Parts: sequence; C-alpha cells; structure tokens
Amino acid sequence: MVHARSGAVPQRRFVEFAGVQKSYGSVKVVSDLNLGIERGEFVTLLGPSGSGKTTCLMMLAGFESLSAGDIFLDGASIGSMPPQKRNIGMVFQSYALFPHMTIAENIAFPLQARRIGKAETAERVARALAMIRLDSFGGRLPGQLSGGQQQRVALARALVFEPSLVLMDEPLGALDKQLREEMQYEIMHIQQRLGVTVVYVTHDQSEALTMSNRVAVFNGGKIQQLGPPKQIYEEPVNTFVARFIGENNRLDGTVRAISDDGCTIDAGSGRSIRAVAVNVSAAGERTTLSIRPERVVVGPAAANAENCFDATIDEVVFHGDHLRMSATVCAQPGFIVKIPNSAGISMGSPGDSIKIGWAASDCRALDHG
Amino acid sequence: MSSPSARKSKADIWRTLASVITVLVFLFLLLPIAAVLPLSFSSGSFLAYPMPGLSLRWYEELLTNYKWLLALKNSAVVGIGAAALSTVLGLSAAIAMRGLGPRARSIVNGFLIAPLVMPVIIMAVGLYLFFSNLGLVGTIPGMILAHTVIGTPYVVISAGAALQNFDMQLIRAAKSLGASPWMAYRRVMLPAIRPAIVAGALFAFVASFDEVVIVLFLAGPGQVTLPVRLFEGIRDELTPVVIAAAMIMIMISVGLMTVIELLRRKSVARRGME
Repeated sequence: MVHARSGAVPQRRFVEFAGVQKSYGSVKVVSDLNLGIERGEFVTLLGPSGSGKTTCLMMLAGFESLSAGDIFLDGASIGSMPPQKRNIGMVFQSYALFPHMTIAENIAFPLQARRIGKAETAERVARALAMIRLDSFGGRLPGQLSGGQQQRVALARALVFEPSLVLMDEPLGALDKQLREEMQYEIMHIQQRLGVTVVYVTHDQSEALTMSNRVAVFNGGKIQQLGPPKQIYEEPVNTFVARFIGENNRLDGTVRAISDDGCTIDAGSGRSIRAVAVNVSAAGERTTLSIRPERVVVGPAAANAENCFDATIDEVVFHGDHLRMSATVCAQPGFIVKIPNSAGISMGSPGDSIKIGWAASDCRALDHG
Repeated sequence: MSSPSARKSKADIWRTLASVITVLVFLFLLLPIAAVLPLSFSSGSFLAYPMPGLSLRWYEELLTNYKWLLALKNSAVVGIGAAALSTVLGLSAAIAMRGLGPRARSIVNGFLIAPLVMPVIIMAVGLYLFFSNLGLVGTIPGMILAHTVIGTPYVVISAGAALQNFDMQLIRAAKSLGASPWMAYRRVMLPAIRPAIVAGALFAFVASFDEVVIVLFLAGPGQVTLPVRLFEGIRDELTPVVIAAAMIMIMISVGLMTVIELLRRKSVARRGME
C-alpha cells in the first residue's frame, strides 16, 4: 500500500483481515477477504456450509494457516502467531469441555495456563459461574450437565481470562430450538455487559439477524454483503443475499429503462414493474426482482401502490399470527404474501382473483439468478 | 416344524455342548501346568509324585540363592526399563501418527508393528550382530534396548486405539485457552488415554519378562533373566526350585494381566459415559 505522507501508519481496525486467501491445493476456499471489525462489535459470518465462513474463523483463531494476506488484532499482525499466544476466547459447537475435569476446573484452565495465583483463580471462577447462573455446579463433571448448561460453561471458560475477542463457531447448533433462542439472548446480554468483541459463525440467518451489530454474508469464499441486519434484510445487494436471508419473492424480467429514481422492468405481456435499480446497469438486461412477502399489500388497498397487478390465489394457509398466501403474479407462480391475522380478515380462497401491490422502494432489481 | 419348546431344548443342548468343549480346551491348556505346580511345595528333591512331604524349602532356596536373585533382579530391571522406554517411544509414535495421511499412517503403523510378526530368532540374530559392533552385547542397557523393540508395538496399538476415540477438538480448545502444546497434551490428552497407556506399558513389561530367545543371544553370565535361569535350572539341576520360580512368574503375569483387564473395562466404561 502506498501512503500519501511518508511515515503514516495505516489505521487498522481492531480486527482486520487484509487480503486474506486460503486454498487447499487448487481449491480456493477464501479469496481476497478484507474485513474490519470494531472493538466491542458483534459481527456474524453467515453463509451456507462450504462458503468459507468457518475457515475464516479458524484462521482468526490460529487453527488454519493463511495462504496469502495477513490478519491484525489490535494493530499487531497475528497471521503466523500460534493460537495459544493470541489471547482469543473460543466457543465450539461441540462445547469441547474437558470431560475428566470438573466444571470449576474447566473454567480455571485458562487461568492456570496464564499462571494466575490460586486465590485469584478461585475468585474469578466463582464470578464466572455466577455469570452463567451455575453457581452450585462447580464440582460436577461436564457429562452430568445438559447441553445448554455445558455450552454456558464453555462460554464462561472462553470469557474468564478476559480476552478482548471471543470467537463462536455455531455455538448453538447442537441445541433444540427453544433453548437456542434463550441462549441467543443470554449470549447477547453477556456480550453487551462485558463489551467484548465477538465474531460469530452460523448458517442460521435468524440467529444472525437477532444477535449481530453487523452481518457478513458469505458465499463461494467471498463476502457477498456486509452491513447491519436491517440493511442485509431490507437492502440485499444481490440475488444470493436476497434468497439466503429471510423469505423472498422473486420475479424475473427484462430491464426496459433506468433513470435516477429507479428503473422499469418488463415482466412479460407488457406488464411493467417499477423497482429500485441495485444490480442492473443497462436496458435489455435480464434481472430478478426481490420483494419481501410482508411488504406486499392485497385487496382494495393495493390499487394505491406504485405496482399493482391481478393475481390468482393458489393456496391460503393459516399460521396463527398470520395468514400465508401463495399466488400467481405476472404469470409466475409461487408468489408469497404474509398478512397479519387481524379481526375479520379474509383473503379469499384458491382460484379467486385478487389485487396485489407493492411500493417501488420495496422492490429491488438484482442480478439475474 | 418343531414346537417352540422343542426348539428351546435344542438350543440348550448346543449351549451345553459348547460349554463342555470350552471346559475340555481349558483343561487341555491348563492341566499340564496345574499338574507340576504342586511340586514346588514338595519337600523332596525330585520332580516326581508322590511327594514325600510339604515344605517351602524351594521358595526359600529361590529367595536366598544369589543366581536366582540376580535373575529376578535382571528381569525386573530389564522389564521396567524396556516398558518405560517403550511407553515413551510408542506414545510419541501414536500421537505423531495422527498427523499423517491414511496411506502414510498404515505404512508407518505396519513398520512399528513389525516386531510382533517377525520371527524372534531372526531379530535376535540381527540384534546380536548389530549390538556386538556397538559393544552392547552382554550389557543390561543392550537388553533393555532389545526388549524395547518388542515392547513398543504394544504401546503403539494400545495408545493408538485410545487416541482414535479422542476428540482432537479438545486440544484446539486447550490451545485457544492459552495452553502450550505441552500443557494441552499433559492436562487434556494424557488423562483421557491414561488407562490405555498403562495397559500398553504393562503389556510391554510382560513381553520382556517372558522373553527368552533374545536374552539367550545377548546376555552374558551376569545378565541372565528369570526365564533363562529357569531354562538353565531345568537343564542343570532339575529340582523343584524351577517349579517355584515358574509359580512366581505365573503369579506376576496373571496379576499384571488382571490389572490390564481392569483398566480396559474402566476405559470402556469411561467412553460409554460420554
């Protein structure tokens, strides 16, 4: 890198991946990754399996070597530092508690590795046990605890030596749904209380949206989009992100015109749709439109929307708090609409014709996928 | 079609037959040993029934005669030395082999296990020629080294099997918590596979303790071990003292095998708990 003023030190983020690459033989798992993480941030690496997210975490932890590039932690290069020198806490999906040690001994382990005195170790272990509300469990073996309790112990063990950075590799993957949601809040609250920086890996998009300050969506070894959960959800930059995060309606079409305030898409048979131009550059291009199901309006109210079409209802399913309708719009089936369940609601029945509409700002023209 | 009760009685017959055969095989194997062992308590000087009377004189002879005492001491020193060395080498090899690819691992494993299938006499000749150049023939260190060769495979097999079931994620966890590689191995890996290591070490000791051929080649008069002394005793004296010595050897071997079996059960139980 060339700097305008000689002697200028590049301003590093707290955690920074700089041009990081990882390949196994000729297979590139991570290609040219640049990612900066601020102190105290909760950043989630989200993606399908094989997208490179776990490899990135393992390189940050020191368990995988880098093929190219470097990683910086608090300004210092750690790219070739052994894991035990990095002072980074880590929580594994399999908990990885030491089965022959008691809970208290497990939590004391990182303190012993740092040659901290007996009295201070005992005090910090007690505090850590209180933090995870397992005060009276110090003398038990990991095998005697439930999965959720074991994962809380693993969390306490990764935090007790006060690392400035904690990595979590699908920590809730082995837990059942209800426990997973409880643990999401528990981890969030502990993270906020301690102000520790967290890098979290998951393939569960709702987990990522709930917990993170920012989400990095991975696919094919590259970050597809990086931003706050709301932005990732509402303003996906390409078809992959739109499809991977949340539920998403897709309509295929051709770009007719692009202007400063959006674009017009030809959806066939002369139907045109107004949309935000995200990933389209010229008229005549094929594109996929992305519309979130909950942003669609049905019935008479749809007539006021910028985009309004006649649709045929294929199916209506009752989901308790909302109704879910599948319809054919612009001759393309499988268009999902979610309507909150309010008094006197009626969406019609299969075969009925219905008006459907949405705002141009809720409709994003992405790459054709 | 046979009725259920008829089928049941048929199964009973087979089971009884199997038991009878098992007992017969055991008798065939154990009777010769059982037949001579009482002679160690004979008050007479000949290996023959009927015994003139009972006495412990041959055990006394065993524990006071310097030749037998030297043999006992040599067996203990060589056995413990070889077991210790085998444990260090075998455990190191088993740990290192985890890092190899499947192909390289099976080659290295085959190489390390080879002493188990090699004819001992061939190994003994080879060791004799090799050691005589190094001045190790007729020395206790030479015998310890030779018995380490036959003891190491037991540790490799035993520790290797335990490591297969060991979760390497635990080593990663230990390192992420700040443990040096040495601390991770000592505090996390070794406790998990300790029963297997001890069992391997005991196997290595027993292998050395029972070994005759290599000792015949390598030992001078001062390095005679218990089994070789036994051999000499039968050839030269043929008094009940050799039976007394055999009795002691059997008791030590049976005792160690019992410990190994208890350790095996313990490690199975530990794995079942997880």
